[in-house]
Amino acid sequence: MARIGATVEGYVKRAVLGVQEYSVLTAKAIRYVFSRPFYWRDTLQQMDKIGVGSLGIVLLTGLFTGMVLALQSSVEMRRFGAIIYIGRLVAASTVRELGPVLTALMVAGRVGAGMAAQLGSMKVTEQIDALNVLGVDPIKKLVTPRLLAALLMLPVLTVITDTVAIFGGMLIAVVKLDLTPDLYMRSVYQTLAQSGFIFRVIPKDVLAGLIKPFFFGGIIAMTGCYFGLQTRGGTEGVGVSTTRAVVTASILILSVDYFLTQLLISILVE
Amino acid sequence: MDDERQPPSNAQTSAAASSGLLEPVVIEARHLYLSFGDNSVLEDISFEVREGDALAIVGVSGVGKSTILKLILRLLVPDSGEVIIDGEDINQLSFEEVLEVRQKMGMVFQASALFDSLSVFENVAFPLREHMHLTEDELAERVRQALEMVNLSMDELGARLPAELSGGQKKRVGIARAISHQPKILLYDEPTTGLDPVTARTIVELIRRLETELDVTSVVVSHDMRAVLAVSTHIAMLQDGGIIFYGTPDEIRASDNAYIQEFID
Repeated sequence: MARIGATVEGYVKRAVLGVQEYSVLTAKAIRYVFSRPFYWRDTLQQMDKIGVGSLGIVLLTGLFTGMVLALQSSVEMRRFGAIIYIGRLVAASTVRELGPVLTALMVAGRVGAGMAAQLGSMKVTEQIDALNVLGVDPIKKLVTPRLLAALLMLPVLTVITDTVAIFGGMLIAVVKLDLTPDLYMRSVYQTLAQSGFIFRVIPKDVLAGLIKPFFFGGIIAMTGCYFGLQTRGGTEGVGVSTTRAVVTASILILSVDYFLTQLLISILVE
Repeated sequence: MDDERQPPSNAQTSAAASSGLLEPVVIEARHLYLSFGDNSVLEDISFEVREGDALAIVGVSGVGKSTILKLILRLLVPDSGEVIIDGEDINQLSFEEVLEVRQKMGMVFQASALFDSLSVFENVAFPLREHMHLTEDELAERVRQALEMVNLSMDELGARLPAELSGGQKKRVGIARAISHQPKILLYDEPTTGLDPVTARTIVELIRRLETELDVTSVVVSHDMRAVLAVSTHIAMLQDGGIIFYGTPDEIRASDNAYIQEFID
């Protein structure tokens, strides 16, 4: 019994310490965004890796998500004669929920894992120590550019996913459900206009859908960097860190999504 | 072990220094203690390294040699004790101030620790880009000089990635990166480990040449006694967390201590 108690105590201590270290790393990375020197070249490189590099998986994710949404819901909607509303369903589910979350999960798998693996390899081969020895702060040089790049690129990738998903839905609506593109797009517009506009231009739903990926970008970058910098134990440690980074980022994305949705509904709808 | 030599005390050396006989102290460790959990690694370690000297820290694997280098660089903080670099207690400085003090030092890592995403040129240029405002021409000239110091050609190797280099070449590039910003202190962590005997000998000769040509203060951590005897002016031998011998290469050769003689042979 005492042994179980000690094990639980040890686990809780490690968890609390982990949360503390994660928070300190995040706070430092954010603070360094506003202090010299700025590593613009590294930030642009990361934006290219995260943004352009993820374009392929994001396009495929968006296209097939939109197509399957339209196809799956058409079965039920046809029964009620509501097939003309297929655009509403695709737009609402994509822009509010599936676009941000699926984009974030795909990028977490690709980019978050890459960050953890790269920084983990640098840690076990003493390259992080080398940065320190050469008088360079590894958080400023490695973490802040990745955080900034992820914060900026996730919303852009989400807009692309949303657009392609709506297009994918239209493809099914036109080819398989015999709707006209015009009818489908009108249905999409009605949904986006339903919650109203901000500055008379930006639909509230789209804005809400763009706030989420901003947070998700932060989660992906910080989780990848945190587990990368925590790596111990050679190449096996790199593998462990990579797995932990993806699993933790995915769980955080899904749980933070719920709380953000609740918050955004209370701010933008009510 | 009681009759073995110990590092000179502060009182002894300060008297000699004030009389102008000795060079100023560049690195000083005072009563360092460090443990990882229940495992005590260093116990009451004290030594000093004077300008232009080359201190070798020797001992069996896991005795805490590399740990001392990490304490000098403040990559680790001791449980108690002081590390004085150029008159400043490095553990009392802010992180930003430590980064500045580290610019006085160059470190050659055991496995070279070259940035694998950067070319040889960019690796050597790294500290220069970070801390000096040089034009691209000045930068290229400094990199060329650093590579020539270690007998490498920038035209031949400058564009290569570390993965495309041999072990000896990696070690040389690591040394070139460490000296490119002209530090006054050079730290070597097992500089000959993992190299064939011929390459190891050329690295030893290179370290000796750098000591005289660059007039740097060096700390070499190694268990390769042949290399240590060739490059050092003083040797500190570690055992069970403490220094059991401190003296010159001639003095360690003359020691009648069985453990030391076994280690040298």
